Amino acid sequence: MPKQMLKTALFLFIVSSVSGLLLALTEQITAPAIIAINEKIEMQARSQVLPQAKTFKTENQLTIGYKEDNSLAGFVIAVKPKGYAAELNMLVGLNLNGKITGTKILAHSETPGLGAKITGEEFHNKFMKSIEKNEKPNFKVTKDGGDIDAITAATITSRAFCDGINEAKKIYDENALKFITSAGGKS
Amino acid sequence: MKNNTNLLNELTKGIWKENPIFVISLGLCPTIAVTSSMTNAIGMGLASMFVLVCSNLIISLIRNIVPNAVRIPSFIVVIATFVTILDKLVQAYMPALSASLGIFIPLIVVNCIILGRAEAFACKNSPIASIFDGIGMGLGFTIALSLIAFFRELLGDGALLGYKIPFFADAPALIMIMPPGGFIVFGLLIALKRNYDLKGKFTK
Repeated sequence: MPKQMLKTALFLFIVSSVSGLLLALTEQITAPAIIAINEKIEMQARSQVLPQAKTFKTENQLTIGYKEDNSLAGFVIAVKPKGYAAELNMLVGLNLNGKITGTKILAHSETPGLGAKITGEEFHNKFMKSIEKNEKPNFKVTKDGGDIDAITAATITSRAFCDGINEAKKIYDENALKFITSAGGKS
Repeated sequence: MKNNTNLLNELTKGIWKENPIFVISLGLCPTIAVTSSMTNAIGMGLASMFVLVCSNLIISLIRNIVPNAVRIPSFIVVIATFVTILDKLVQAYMPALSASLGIFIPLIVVNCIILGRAEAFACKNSPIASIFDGIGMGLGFTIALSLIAFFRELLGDGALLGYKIPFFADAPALIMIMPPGGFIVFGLLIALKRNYDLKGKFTK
């Protein structure tokens, strides 16, 4: 009996060791590529939400975007509002006047085909259009009396999106304004 | 010669006669989850096929030395290893696929088809036959997923592979891309297939 047990334990030990070895190897090979890709995605996303900026510098909650001549272009703020399934990981770009220049959802777990449309161009274009003509848009879905058209059958996701915008505006008001006045002379 | 027809049979049985979804009805959880769009369905099918072929091969190779008492834990370790490797590879080299399938890939570990084939086939057959079984079952799974997704995406989102289809895009029936729509399409397709298979068998 004990011999049988030993054999069983030994087998499991070997299987797990080989598995562990393979996983460590894969991690070694893929980790740099994964980091590089995530950095690239982040860089692209920043340029997307704040097209005027050429270079970025991160400071606390703010990512500051600079134009080619090193003058201030605006800010990129990362927020994580609570969506339908989990947090939405989103970026909001704002210019020096506090106007939104773009948004981007980096990661989410919303329902495919419904809430997942929050990442689509259609929603984003509609959103940008609705704030373009509006001087002081109310960042709430129309159902809650705001100015933002929700995605059909995905009100909770759309609400989360608005929460994210409002949070980004709040962070902007608290931090970015200070930053602009302190750097005021430069630009 | 006989051997070759056998291998061919291992390959084709997964597609029709023993289709993992429509006949064996295994792995239905990912089936309902990913079939709301065709892109996801195809990606999930191919990813599962990769894991299925690799795990079938390894499990067939170790089938004579694995102690019976730890058979299933060993199989799960083998499967989980391949899924994790696949997950990392997709993240590193196929970021587009990773973005749309990211949350589903780790779930392949608990897809019953993989363990089901390990138990029902790979631990009793030669490595070559097991590879063919894996390819066949993987193809059958991919085809079945794509078929369900075809109807769900077209009717529920008015699109195919993400491209809007005129007429269907005018008023999509949202329920089709929600879980109930998955069950409805799945049930109808099973019924159709059974009807075809049994045709003529019960005539008086």
